Amino acid sequence: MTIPNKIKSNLIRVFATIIVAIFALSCLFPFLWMLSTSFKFEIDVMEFPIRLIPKNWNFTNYSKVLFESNFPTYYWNSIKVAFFSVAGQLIITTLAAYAFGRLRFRGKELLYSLYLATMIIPAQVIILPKYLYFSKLGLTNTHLALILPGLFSVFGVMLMRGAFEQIPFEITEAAYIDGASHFRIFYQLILPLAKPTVMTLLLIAFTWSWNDYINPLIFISKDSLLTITVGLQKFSDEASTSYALIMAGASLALIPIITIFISAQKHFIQSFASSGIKG
Amino acid sequence: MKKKKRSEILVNEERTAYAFLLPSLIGTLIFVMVPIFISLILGFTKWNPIKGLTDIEFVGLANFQRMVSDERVLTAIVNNIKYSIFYVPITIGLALLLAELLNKLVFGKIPLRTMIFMPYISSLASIAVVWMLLFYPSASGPINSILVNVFKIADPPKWFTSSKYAMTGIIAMSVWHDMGYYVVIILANMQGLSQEVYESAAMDGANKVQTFLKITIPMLKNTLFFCLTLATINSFKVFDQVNIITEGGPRFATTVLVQAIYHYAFKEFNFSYASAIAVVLFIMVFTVTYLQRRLEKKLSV
Amino acid sequence: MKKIVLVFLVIVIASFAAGTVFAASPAAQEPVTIRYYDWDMVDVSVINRFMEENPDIKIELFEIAANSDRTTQLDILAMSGDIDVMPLADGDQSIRSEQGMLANLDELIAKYNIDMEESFGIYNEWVKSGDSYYSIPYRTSKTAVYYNKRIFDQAGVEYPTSDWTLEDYKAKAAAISEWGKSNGGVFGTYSHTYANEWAILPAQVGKWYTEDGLSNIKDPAWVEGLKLRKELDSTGLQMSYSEIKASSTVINSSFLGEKEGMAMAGSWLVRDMKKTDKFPFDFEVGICSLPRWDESVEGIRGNYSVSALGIPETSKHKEEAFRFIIWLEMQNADAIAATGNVPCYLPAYNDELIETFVKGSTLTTEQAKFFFDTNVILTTNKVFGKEGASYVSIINEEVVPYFYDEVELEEVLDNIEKRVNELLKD
Repeated sequence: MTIPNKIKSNLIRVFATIIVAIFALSCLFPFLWMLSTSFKFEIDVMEFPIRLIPKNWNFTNYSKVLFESNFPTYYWNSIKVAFFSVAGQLIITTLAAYAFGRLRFRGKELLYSLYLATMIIPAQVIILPKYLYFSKLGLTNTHLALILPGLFSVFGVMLMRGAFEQIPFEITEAAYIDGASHFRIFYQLILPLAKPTVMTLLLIAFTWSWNDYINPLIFISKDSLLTITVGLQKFSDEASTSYALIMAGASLALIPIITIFISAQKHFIQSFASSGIKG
Repeated sequence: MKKKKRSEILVNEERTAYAFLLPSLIGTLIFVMVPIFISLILGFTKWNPIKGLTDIEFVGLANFQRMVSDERVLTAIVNNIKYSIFYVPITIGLALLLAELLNKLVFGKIPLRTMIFMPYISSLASIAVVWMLLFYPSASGPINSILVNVFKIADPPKWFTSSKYAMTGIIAMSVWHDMGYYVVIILANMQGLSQEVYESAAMDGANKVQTFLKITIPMLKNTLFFCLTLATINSFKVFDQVNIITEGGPRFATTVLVQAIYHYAFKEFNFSYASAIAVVLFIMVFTVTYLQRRLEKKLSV
Repeated sequence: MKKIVLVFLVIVIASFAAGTVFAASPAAQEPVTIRYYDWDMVDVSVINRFMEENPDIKIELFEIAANSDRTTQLDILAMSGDIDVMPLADGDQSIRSEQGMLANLDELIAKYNIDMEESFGIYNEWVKSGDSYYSIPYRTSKTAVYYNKRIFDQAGVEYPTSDWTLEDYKAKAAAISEWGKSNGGVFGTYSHTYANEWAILPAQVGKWYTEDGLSNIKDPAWVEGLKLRKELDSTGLQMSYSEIKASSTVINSSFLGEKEGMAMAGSWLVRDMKKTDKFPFDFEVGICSLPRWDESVEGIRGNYSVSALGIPETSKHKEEAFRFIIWLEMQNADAIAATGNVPCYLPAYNDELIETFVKGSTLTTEQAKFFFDTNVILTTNKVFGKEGASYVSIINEEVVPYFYDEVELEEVLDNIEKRVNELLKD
C-alpha cells in the first residue's frame, strides 16, 4: 500500500464522517431538547425560536420526579417487565428461528406465512378484543399481560431466522456427522456466530418493551404496577402540559437503553473479528 | 444403507424442528393469533361490545359495502399507499448507505451509531415538538428561513399546516425516525459477511463503490428483503406520528388507515366497521409482502 | 368393592369441602368493591371518610393520566365491566349514552329522591339524553376573559367591564397588539385551537339545528364566528391558528408567560395559577365575563362545559356506585373546589366555597365570583342534540383548512352541511 493511497482513503473517510455526523447531529436534536426542557420551568418550555440553554434554570424537576412521585416504582416495573420479556423472548424466538432457518420440516412455508401475517395487524385494531380475552384469562392488572405477548415476538423469529440462514451449512454439517445434537449445534455453534444479530434483537426487544405505551395503558390500572411510559403521563393536567416534568422522567428513562446500546456495540466488534476468521 | 441414514436425518430434523417451535407456536397461538383472529372476524359482524363476545350478529360484507362511499377510508388508502411508496425505498436505501458508511468508512463509529439510533428511542412527544418547530409554517421557521435566504424561495411551504406538504413532512420525519432501527439490523448482518470475498476484490483493484454494489448488496440480499418486508408492514401500520402531529389533517390530508380504524373504533364505537377496515389493510399488506417473497425466491434461484 | 366405596367417599368429602368453600365466601358480608377512575382526584381522605360512613362499600381508586388517551382506556374498561364510576369530560357523555355504554340513572335518582333541577340546574343539559339522565354533573369549566393588568396598564388600555361587547373586545385587543409591536411582540388576545373554540361567542345567538332538525351551520352567527377567528388571526391581534399548532402552544404558559394581554380560557386556568412552581408569574390577573356578541344580547355572558360521573351499563354494583357518586358530589363541593375546579352542585355555592377555590391563585374571592354566579347567562360552544359529537368532529375537520388559509368559507360550510345532514337523515 502506497502512502498517497492511504491519504486518499483517509480523506474519503473524513468526508464520509462529516456527512454521517451532520445527519447524526440532527438525530441528537430532540434528545437535546428533552434534556434542556427537563431543566426548564413549564412556562418557558414552548419558546420560539428554540432555546436549548434554559433562560431560567430549574433543577426541581428531577427531584420532583424522583422523590415526590411514584416514578421509582414505575422504573422498577419497567425493568422487571423488560427483563423477563427480553430474556424469554431471546430463548423462545432463537429456538423457533433455528427451526425455520436451518431445519427442514413439513408445513414450514405455511407456518412462516402465518407468522408473518400476525405482524401485519396494528395493535390499535386488536386492543379491545384482546382486553376482553385477556380479562377472561385473568391477565389484566398483572405484569404477565405485558410480558407474555412480548415473549412470542414474531419479529424476533424472523430476524433471527435471517441471521441463522446466512451461516454456511458446511460448518454445522461436519458437527452433525460427528454426532452433535441439534441443540448443541444451536447452542455452541450457531448462536455465537449470530451474536451481532442476537445483540440487535436484545436491543430492539428491550426498546419495544421499555417504550411500550398502549399495552400498559390498557391492561394496567393499578398505579403500583404501571411502567414508565404511562406513569410519566400522570404528570399532565387537563388542558395543560407538563413537558418539563415528563421530559425529566423521559431523560432518566433513556439511561438503560443507551447503556445497553453502547455495551452491545462492543459485541458487534468482537464478533466482527471472530467471524472474519470463520467465514 | 446411505439412503436409510438420510431419511433418519430428515425424521430427526423434523422432530427437532417441531420441538424447537413448540414454545413459540403455543404462545403465539394463544396470545397473538387468537386476538387477531377475533378482530378480523368482527369485520363481518355487527357487534356491540357492551354485550361482550357472546352477542355477535353476522352481516356478511355489509361493512365493506359502506367503505366504498366512505371518504375517510378511501382517502386513507390512497394516503397510505403514497406514504409507503416513498417511505419504504427511501428508508431502506438510506439505511443501507449509512450502515455501509458506519461499518467501514467513518471515524468514531460507536458514538455515531449511537446517535443515529437516538430518534428511535427518544420520546415521540419531544420529537413531534421539535419537528413542528423546525418546520414552522411561517418564513421565520428554521427550515423555511433556509429555503427563503439560501434557496431564494419566495413562498416557502407551510409544512404540517398545509394539505399539500403535510404528508411530505410526515414521511420525512418517519424516515428520519426509523432510520436507526434499520441501520442496526443491516449492520448486524454485515458483520456476518465473509471477509475473504472483500479481500480478493481489493486485490483485483475494485474500488469502494464497486465492492459495495457488486459484493455487499448481493450478499445482503436476504437481509434487505427482510427489511423491505418489515418496512412495508410498518408503513401500513403508521399511526403515532400522524396522530400526534397532524391528527390526520388538514381535513383528511394525512389520514392513514390505522387512524381511520381508530376513529371508527374509539370515536364512533363502531368496532365492526373498524375491524372491516383492518381486514382490508390486512389483505393489502399480505398481498404486497407475498409478492415480495415471490420476488425474493425468484432472485435466489 | 372396597375401591368403589373409597371413590364414593372421596367424592362425598370433596363435594362437601367444595360446598363449604363456596358457601363461606358470600356469607362473610364482604363489602362491595366500587372501582372509581379519575384524572383529577379529590383528596384521598374524602374517599376514606366515605368508606367509614358506608362499611358495605369499598372504593378502589385509580388515578389516570389526563391526556387524550384516557377516553380509550376508560371506554375499554367500561365495555369490559372493569369500572363502576366513570368520569366523562365535556362532550363525552352524549355519544356514550347513545351507544348504550352508560346506565340509565332515572330509577336510582327517583329512589334516592334527588332533586336534579335544584341540585344541578343548567348543568343537567350535559348529562341528559332525551328526558333520561345518564350521568351526574360533577365539575364545570366556565370560560372567562383573563387579562394581564400590567400589560393593560402599560399599554394604557382600560380594563374590560362585564357589559362589554365584541367590538370592545376587538378594540382592546387591537390597542394591545399595537403597543406590543414595540414591546416584544405581545399579542392582544388568545383563543385556543380546541374543537369549536371559535364558537364560544357566536353561541350566544347561534342555533346548531334548523327547525327541521338539520344542520344550521349557515346560521349568520356561525358564519360570522368563523370569520371573526380568521380576522383576529390575520390582523395579528392573536397568535394564528397554525402558529399555535406548529409551536404546540397552550394557554396557561402563553398567558402566564405574558405573551398576550388577554386570553379566553376555562376556569381551569385558576388551577394552574396555583401551581407557581410550574407557572411562576408576577403580574395581577383580571377576570371578566365574555363580551356580548352584539348590542342586542343582554345580561352578563359566560360559556360553560361539564364533566360528569356516570355508571357503565356493565357495572355489577350500580346502586352502590350511585350512592358514592351522589355522596361525593353533594357533600364534598369544598374538596372539589380545593382542586381548583368549580363543582356542579349548586346548593353548595357560597363565599366560603369561592375562597377555597381561589386559595393560592392570587385571585380574590370577589374576582372568582364570576365562576359561581348563577345570574351569568351561560351558553355553550359544544353541540347538544342528535349526533352532537360527530357534528363537532365534522366541523373541526372541515374548518381547520379554512383557518390555514387553504379553502374558501363557502366550501367549508357546504361540506359541513352536507356531511352532517347525511348523518342526521339516517
